[in-house]
Amino acid sequence: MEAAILIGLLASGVRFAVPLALAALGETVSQRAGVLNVGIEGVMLIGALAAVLCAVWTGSPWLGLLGAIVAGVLFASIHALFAVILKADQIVSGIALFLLGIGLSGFVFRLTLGSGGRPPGQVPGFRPLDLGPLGEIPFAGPVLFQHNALVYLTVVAVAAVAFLLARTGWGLSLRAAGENPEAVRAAGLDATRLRVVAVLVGGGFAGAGGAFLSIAQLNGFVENMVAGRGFIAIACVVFGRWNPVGAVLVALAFGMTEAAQIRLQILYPALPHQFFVMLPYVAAIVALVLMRARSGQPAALGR
Amino acid sequence: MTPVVRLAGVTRRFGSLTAVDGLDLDLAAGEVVALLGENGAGKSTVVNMLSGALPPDAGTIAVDGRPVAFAGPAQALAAGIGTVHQHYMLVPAFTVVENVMLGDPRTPRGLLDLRAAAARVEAIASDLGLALDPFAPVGSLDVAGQQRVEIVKALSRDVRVLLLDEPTAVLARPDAERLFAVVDRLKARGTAVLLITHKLDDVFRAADRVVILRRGRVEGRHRTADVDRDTLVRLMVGEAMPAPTAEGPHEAATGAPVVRVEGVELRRANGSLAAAEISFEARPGEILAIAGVEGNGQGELIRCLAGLERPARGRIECLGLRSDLPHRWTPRALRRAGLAHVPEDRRRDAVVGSATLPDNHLLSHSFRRPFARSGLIRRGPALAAVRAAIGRFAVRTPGERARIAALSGGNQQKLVLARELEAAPKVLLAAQPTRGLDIQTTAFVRGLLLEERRRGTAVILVSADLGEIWDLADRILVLGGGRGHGPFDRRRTTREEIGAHMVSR
Repeated sequence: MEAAILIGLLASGVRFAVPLALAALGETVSQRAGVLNVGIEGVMLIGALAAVLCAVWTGSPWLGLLGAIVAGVLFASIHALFAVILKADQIVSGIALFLLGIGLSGFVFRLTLGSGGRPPGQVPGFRPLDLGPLGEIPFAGPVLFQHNALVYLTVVAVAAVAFLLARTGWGLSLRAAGENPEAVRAAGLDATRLRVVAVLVGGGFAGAGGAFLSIAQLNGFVENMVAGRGFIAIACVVFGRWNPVGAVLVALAFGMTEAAQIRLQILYPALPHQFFVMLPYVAAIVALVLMRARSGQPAALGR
Repeated sequence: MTPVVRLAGVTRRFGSLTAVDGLDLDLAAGEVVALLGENGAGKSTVVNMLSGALPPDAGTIAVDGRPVAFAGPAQALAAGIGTVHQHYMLVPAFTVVENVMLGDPRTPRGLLDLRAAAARVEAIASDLGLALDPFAPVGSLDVAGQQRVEIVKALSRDVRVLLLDEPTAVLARPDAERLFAVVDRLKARGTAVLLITHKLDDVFRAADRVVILRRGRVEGRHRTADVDRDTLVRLMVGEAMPAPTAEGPHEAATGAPVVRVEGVELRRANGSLAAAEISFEARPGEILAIAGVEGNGQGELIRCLAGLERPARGRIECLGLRSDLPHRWTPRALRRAGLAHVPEDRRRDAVVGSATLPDNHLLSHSFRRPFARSGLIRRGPALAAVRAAIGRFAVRTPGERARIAALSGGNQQKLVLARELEAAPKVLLAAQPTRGLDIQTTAFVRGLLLEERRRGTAVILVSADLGEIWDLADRILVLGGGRGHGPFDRRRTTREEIGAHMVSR
């Protein structure tokens, strides 16, 4: 019985972590290039809606994911235009993106599926994969090997981003754009272009994170369904010290916290459930206070 | 033989200011040409045009006889022109080899081969007689080390022309000599070097020819073998030679001390002891100089005197305020009482580069009439003060409302001094006020300090230049070996005595 609870907790922790991890991965790329995008919450919402729409229209969750990524890239291009090309304040542009994302996703949802559209459940979503004997392994099987394909794609994406940033010429240029764009220009590269690409990549990942929420977890869209996860993803980047693997590990910790709070709600029905819902955010604030050194922060972040 | 680079009639304007006016300049392979001029003479603009950062408004730049128009640094590098900027264009968080690889078109976009690149860095460095660890983080290197990275970075692009923008400005003597040894090797290899400098020593040590720039125009061209220092100084600063700054006999200041430092102990930001047992008084109408090898507590002492910190031990009294009383030892309270402060690091502590000249003027006076009334700042009086300072101090600026970063260092320093002297201070803290300034501006700043002394200000001057201290100071406090020595009366001491205290243990 104890083991069953633990297995359930860990397995659902992994699922809760994936949208955070995808968004945090994209935000890491963006911030390593020096661009803070505080609006990824909005990008995730747009991604979540686009995923549902595309999945419903095409009948394929994969095309839903693709639609979410494309929508995320397009939506983030607003941030690229204002914050990078026109050099507006990154925070202001990011907040605008967040607010626009909430409003636009809700509006489009009501225009399309919201009024008498399909109820959740009829949306073609990702199903857990059958990995054969791997899923049968005691403990590790249900925790690690009974998830949908997006979970495993996320793991691949983490490795790919970490490798690209650390080991390739493109990664070197991108990181330099976040440390000293002047030096990048003096070396003959286009710092603005590097940053634009990084913001778009970040948008694509945030869109995919939104897609996970809508077509792999809930199988439907609800207004404001991202519920602050975009901001938690930014916290993951900071706690992960701007390292893609670090950010994803922190996302995993937040995912576990979220899984735990749901179980605690059930265990302690006498306490108002709002206190448990707050837990991941309280954890973020406490961690932020405890972690004061900013080592690893790109020197030109936000400038 | 065609010169590698030829500038013909190159002109660049900023607003109403013509920074470079019809410049003609040739650079041949294996030749070192010095571009000599004071701060604001237009040297940096020449660098920016040659390195592709700025297009000229008129005139042509030709490489190997073919006219070129650089749209950016990449094209200048591709044409074979490399630049070592005065403010290094490096990524401190990266290693040496990563910095060298950055932006090199031969660096693959895919997988990086750091080992091969490191081998290349070492090959270039050893070819120049430089020691350089390819895997050292650039941020851990001193300024001379970072400059070596910049040189290797430029040469790794196989440039045929190297621009060195004020390369000795931040170097100690031995490092400067090592740099010139590298320049000699480059010359022997056939690289053309343009040495941008305001120092005559650099010209005579390294250059074959010298082109003198003043206010954007060429004032003369000479072979360094055929010219003497006096001629170069005259061409550089114009007919008006700087007035000698050594002052005549002066009666000892006898007024009541306005600054009293008693048994002060200074600690660095990391908690280590900088200097202890510092005691002195400063009286109206005297210049008290603080001598010492850099890093012996001068910075901490000035920060304490300015109210930015409190001494770890002992106490300071200044204009009726005391450092051991709570609350009142703040820069604002001290400034209200009549203190003025010219910080050492101009770019970091004295000006806000992106702010306009009037706003920079307001920085020290935001609480003071006529610059503020009823808690609101007033830009009109600030603009008037800036206008007066531009006229009185002959500040070269693109405009009265320009961003201060658009001005050269010397012109910024003039405005900082104008700001600090605005309210007729009773105590003036001047930390390295002439560092990095050209001959004329240095003379001007020294003159201002002497004028303040005549006016009855107590001037506390930190200088790393013993010659300057000897020209200006009435009394000298030495920081060395972790403690304060003196103050000594300048007329009754010798440079040997001061020097011995500086290096005491």
